[in-house]
Amino acid sequence: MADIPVLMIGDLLLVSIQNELNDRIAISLQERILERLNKQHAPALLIDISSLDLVDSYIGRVLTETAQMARLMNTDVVIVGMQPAVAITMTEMGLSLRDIKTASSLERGITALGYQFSKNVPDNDAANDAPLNGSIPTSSEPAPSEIESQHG
Amino acid sequence: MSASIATRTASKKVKKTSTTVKKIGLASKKPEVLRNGIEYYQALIAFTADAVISIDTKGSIELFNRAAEELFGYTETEILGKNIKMLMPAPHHDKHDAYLSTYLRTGKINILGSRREVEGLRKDGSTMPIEIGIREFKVGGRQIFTGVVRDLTEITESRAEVAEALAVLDSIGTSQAMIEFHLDGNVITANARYLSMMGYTLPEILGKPHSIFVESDYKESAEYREFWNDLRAGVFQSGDFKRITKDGQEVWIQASYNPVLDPDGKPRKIIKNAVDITEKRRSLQDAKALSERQRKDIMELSTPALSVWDGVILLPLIGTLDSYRMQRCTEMALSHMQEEEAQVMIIDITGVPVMDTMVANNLMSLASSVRLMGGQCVVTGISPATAITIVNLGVNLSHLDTRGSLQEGLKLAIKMIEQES
Repeated sequence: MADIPVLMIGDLLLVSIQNELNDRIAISLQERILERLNKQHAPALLIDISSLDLVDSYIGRVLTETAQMARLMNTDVVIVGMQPAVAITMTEMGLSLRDIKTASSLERGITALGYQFSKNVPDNDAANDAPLNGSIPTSSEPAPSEIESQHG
Repeated sequence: MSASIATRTASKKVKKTSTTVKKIGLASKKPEVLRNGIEYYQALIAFTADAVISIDTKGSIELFNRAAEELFGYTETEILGKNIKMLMPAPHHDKHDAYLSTYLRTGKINILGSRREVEGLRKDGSTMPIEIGIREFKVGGRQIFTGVVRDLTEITESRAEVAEALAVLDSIGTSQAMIEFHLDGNVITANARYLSMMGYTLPEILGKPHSIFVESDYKESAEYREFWNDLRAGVFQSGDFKRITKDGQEVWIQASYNPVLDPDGKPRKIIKNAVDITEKRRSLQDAKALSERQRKDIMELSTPALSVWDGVILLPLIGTLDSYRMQRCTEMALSHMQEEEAQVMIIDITGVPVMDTMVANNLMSLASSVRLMGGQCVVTGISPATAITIVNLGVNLSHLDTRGSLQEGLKLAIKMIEQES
């Protein structure tokens, strides 16, 4: 079985658990995350467990400990998408994930870590916005910001 | 001296037998008897175990032996020469003279020869049931009537006990179904109630095995074999059993199987008493089902989670919150939160009558779960009384957002939502 991918996006470490976890995979994941953080410090870690239907006491603990270990290494952690059944189990186990952020969606999780997730990306390539009647922009084209302010 | 004994047969015909005793003393050939002759016979009558009384044709008592003295309470001296009717309570007391004279005149009698049960009157005035056997004979030209009297008090009491026992049995029989089996399981007899319960007539089941009343797969089972083995060993069995009527209908009975033991302690037959509990059982099951449905209804009615704003859901908690209800509540609320993609859950506890440590803990667990899912919690509806209780209990809700009223809670929730975006 392939390992759970641990991805870096910018300086955010992203872990998305898509498959069923077993004890071995959980422990291996923990090791890999910590190793990664050790090799290259990341200020933020996002663990997405929205595909996880249920956890047992062992996996719940491994998850919590991973987050706590990352915090000790000065990494901001958010756990995203915990399902109701998992939340209930973790509460019953007394794992409250103090000091570790939680979010209901990936978007909110990223925001919680202090990143901005903007849909309006500044357009640097104005050449591609040429009108369809074929006039070719010249180098004397005004700067993009000016275009924007002209068009309001 | 000769005496001829006139006897009456059961059909009241006169039949003179030819038995004659030639001389008192010669009936036996034993030398001791011959030697003592008359004294022997006198002693015999005097001390025999049964009470013996003789009267003449006028009814006056000529002979009253020791046993009669003990039975009636008179001494021989007291009673000799008195009329026999002294020993009779009403109505015979007054009628005896007439009986006697009628017989002497007509020869018609209905008391001679057979044993009768009548009442005797003692000296102390008490009566007792007695059995008398009367015969007449002639001796020395005189006609004598002799009666043997037996006290039936004990027997009467026993009979009464038996009658009582039979009456009790009868009453059981009318209210309970009863059936008897041989040790091999074949039917000996059954009472009307059993027959009507199972839908058979008696001839249909006589001699048939018990297994005709049970389900076919039970009939073959080891359990059934063991049941009968235990009965044959004399072990009493009781319980609720499923039986099948003639039409194949199920009945449930509460029954006891009683092995009847012979005097040596060995089982000789099985008597079973049963009461039909089919209706009761069905009612019980219906009641259980109803209760279960009602419980479900209550659960559903009382734990709704409502979407009151974009991203805000409201969970009004109403009534006593036992662990089971709280668990159901939590599951439903969290599912709802996930479905609606809500960020804030308002938990309103206005309807919770009693705040105690258990309720407070359950509340905190719910809030924890909400937080784990990335949501936020606002607890509202905290009355002054509840606030006092919470503080007195030492429950720490400081990490939760709380508001007194639902309005305040909703305002806060909306602010939280707007802060996000």
